[in-house]
Amino acid sequence: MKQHKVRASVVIGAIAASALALTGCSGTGAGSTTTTSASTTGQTINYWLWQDNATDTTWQQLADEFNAQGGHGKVTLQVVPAAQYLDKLSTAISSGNGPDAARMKDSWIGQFVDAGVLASLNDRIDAWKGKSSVEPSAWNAGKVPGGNQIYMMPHQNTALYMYYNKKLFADAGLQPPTTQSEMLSDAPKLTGGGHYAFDVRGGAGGQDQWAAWMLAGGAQFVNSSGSVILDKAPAESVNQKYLDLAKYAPPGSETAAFSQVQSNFLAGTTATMIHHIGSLAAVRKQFGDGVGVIPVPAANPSKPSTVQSMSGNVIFANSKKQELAWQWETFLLGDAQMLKMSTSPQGQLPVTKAVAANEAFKKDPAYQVAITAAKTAKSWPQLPGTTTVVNATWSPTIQQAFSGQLTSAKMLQALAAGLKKK
Amino acid sequence: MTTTVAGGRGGARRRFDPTILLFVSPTLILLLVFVAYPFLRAIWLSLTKTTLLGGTVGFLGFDNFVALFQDPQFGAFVGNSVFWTVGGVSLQLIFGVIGALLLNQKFRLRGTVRGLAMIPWATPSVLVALIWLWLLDPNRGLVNTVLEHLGIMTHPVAWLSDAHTALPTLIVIDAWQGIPFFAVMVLAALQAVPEELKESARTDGCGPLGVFRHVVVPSILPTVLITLVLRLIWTANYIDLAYVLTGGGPGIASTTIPLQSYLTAYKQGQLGSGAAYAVVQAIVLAILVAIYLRLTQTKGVKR
Amino acid sequence: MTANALGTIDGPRTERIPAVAPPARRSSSARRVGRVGLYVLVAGWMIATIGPYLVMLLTSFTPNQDLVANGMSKLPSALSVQGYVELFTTTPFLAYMRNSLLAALGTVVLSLIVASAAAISLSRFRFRGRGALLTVLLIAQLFPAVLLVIPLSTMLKGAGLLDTTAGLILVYTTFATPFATYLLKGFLDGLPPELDEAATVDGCTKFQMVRHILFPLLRPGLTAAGTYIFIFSWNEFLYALTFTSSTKSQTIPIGLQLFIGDYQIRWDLLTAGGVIAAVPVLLGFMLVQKQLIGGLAAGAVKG
Repeated sequence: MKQHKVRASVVIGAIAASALALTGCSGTGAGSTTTTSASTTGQTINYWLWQDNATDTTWQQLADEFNAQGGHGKVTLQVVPAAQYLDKLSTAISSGNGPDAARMKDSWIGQFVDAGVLASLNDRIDAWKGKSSVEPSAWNAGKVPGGNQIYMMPHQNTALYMYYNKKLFADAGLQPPTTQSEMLSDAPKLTGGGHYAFDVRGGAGGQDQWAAWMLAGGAQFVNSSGSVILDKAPAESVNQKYLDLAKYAPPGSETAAFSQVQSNFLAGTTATMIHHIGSLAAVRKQFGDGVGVIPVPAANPSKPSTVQSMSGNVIFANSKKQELAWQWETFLLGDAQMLKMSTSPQGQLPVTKAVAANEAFKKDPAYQVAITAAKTAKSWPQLPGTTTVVNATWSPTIQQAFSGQLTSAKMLQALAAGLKKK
Repeated sequence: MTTTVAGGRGGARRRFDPTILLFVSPTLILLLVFVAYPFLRAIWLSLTKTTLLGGTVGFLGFDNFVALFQDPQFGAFVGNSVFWTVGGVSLQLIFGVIGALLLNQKFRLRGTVRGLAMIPWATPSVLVALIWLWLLDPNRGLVNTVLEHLGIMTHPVAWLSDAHTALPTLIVIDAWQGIPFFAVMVLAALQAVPEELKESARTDGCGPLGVFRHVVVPSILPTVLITLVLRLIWTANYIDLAYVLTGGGPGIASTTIPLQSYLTAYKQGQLGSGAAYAVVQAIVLAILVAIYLRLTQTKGVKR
Repeated sequence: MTANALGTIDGPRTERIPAVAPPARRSSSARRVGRVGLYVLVAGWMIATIGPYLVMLLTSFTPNQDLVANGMSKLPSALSVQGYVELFTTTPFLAYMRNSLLAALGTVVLSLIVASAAAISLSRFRFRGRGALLTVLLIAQLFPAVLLVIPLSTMLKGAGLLDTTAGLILVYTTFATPFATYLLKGFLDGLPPELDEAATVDGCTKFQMVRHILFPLLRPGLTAAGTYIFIFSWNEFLYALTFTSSTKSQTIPIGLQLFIGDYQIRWDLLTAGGVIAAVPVLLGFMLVQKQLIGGLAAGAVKG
């Protein structure tokens, strides 16, 4: 534990120093003060979120900062466990009991946009002083195909990579894998005596690490004209490799959720874990230098790819306090706030130019891998059927594939059909 | 409502008594509002395309049902439902009767034991799930630890994650929770067996087994049957354990029809299709209910 | 079958029946083996029933380091209340407890009133539709929750009762009342009708008779029914899952379920929550278990 604190304080100190310098000379950056609007004073909005780290208090700290600011209303946070987040949010919205604003992933917004429950943000964004502070590509995460309306304010980006346990690899006499074939030949050597190679994570939320593997293997969700091609070559063989990895996974992996996967990796039970920068702090705390970060093994290392997922903020169309919700969400994009979130134990890649240019991010090897991976990463396609696939269909379908009830081809057909559904 | 004064002398006097209406109306109102009306609405919902976020977007007639029956997974749901219901209740029947026989014996602390035995029945379903989730944890749970120590298993089994063991495991947990109820019902029946009949059987030369077969069993049979049907109905509808422990998985290995109804409605957001599954479940159960009513009426206990 | 309504199945009858009819031919050593076998079976049953709770209790006092260590479970190195401390300081568990308590007590009060009224009418008064009402009460209990939950959530939404304790109380009352009515009716049926007759002859109105004569005598029945209602409400999962969405109204079962999703690796925290969730129901149950079991047997089996 102490080891982590020393390391973190050095990194944070460097970042803080550069942050001070940043705010000193930043002119019209997103800034940390929001436009005062007397009309929202006295109001309180409900904001829903999930956390990647149940004990980290960064979100609450940001909320307290916002509430203490004055000049506008307040925000109340409601934390919902990630595995149930989408179900509960949908139920609450449909019942008229939903929050005013919520954290959301880009792969989820398709269904919400289709149902017309999200407020379009283009007008507010165009009128916003901080518009230019956001990386231009980040806006795309909030759009659905076929339109130019933005429904989600970007906040934290992730591109998935792979952690590996240096000691377990050394004990097996192996180098970390660069190709998927290598991963499959390494896996048996890493399995045995209570150790396993990889958690295939067939439970809720596992679709992202699976998507990372698929994309890295050269499979695509949609082609350039937006048609679903998940069931076309080479997806079947890439998927088969993933299914084969289940032989080298710990018991229960076929239905595991993230908490099990992480605890297995941290306990040294598994040798590798596909995840993103959000878990870096916990992993470093446990292993320090004993863990390495590499891109997700690809079919062809010179053509890497992985899945990218933007967590952002939405405002609900039936909220009566959209102005206040807007103020909260733009507050989060302020330089100091963005920095705080991105350097927190559950922080991910920042979406504002100023913070992303921060030296400390560039120097950290894990961040380097993540930032490089983000350049060639793709996200889940924002189709109306995507929400159901990622939230409800993917998990049982891959579990049936793990148990042999579905072939790789049939599994992909089922998922493709789900994506195409209106 | 008209009323007859109970036990009145000189014939019944019928007159309208508002007290009765007053006494009975709260129950009737609650049932009408929260049972009858939703029941009808559910049937209507099953005939529409209604989504969680978007509301009702169209009338489909029987399309939901057609899609339901044509779904290749429907057979699996039916199979799981039957296996779950029959399996769980069989275990409860067998061990409930044995338990009742045990509790009918005289031994020290019998009263305390009877109370303690009922505890699983009084426990929230989520808590039962939690307790067993911990006991069955593949790496650290007591079950695997003991089995591996005893040499019965060589490597840990993920009871709830393996398609072959998930549903049987749920059945065992359900039985653990439900046996007390069965035991208590049968125990009450055992204690109501008229002693004279048993005496006369014994004097006729029957051993304890004979007494059991010829006197006890016929006496308790009506109770056992009624409890059986009650538990069948109740277990068929019971999805808490599966929802919390496996979510219907792995795959659809532990998905029964009512669970599929709930998941379709609240995980996929398809309320119309979800209602269709529930209607199918209700129809099957209506048959069981009819059997139950027939049984209680022939018993002649309705006063 | 005439279980003594005022008493319990532990009533005087059991004293008259010898637990094991001793046939003359059995040797005393065989009897001893029989006794030992009996105690072994009972002990085994107790271990299987209570053991899991004890494991949960032990785990809740185990330091988390012991629990996350890779490998099989062993006895804790030391006892720690850290799980409980964190449960109350870092999670909304107190809010869940408050909500559960409010919902349960509200349901008990409302349901007892409604059920008593209905039970008194059914037991004491003769009126047209009485038989039908009994059947309706029966059927109401057998409706699958999954069928009703979808339309009920729409209805509650329309009335603004979603995510409120009041909404839960209304729904729970509806579903607890039928069985409570049966329980109370069973008790009432055991009360001699001469009492009411005497009161009526003396000039009491029905209302006065109920208030001054029946109600006080009904107290043990009310206790049993009240406990049943409390347990039902405290344990209820599916409706709470669907109708609540925030700490404003989420009950303990929902809290536990959320914890399982969030803290699956924090077994000390989870089991601490489980222990707290179990304690009120188990205590209450053990206090009234005799009457409750008696009422269960009398009420349900009579049909």
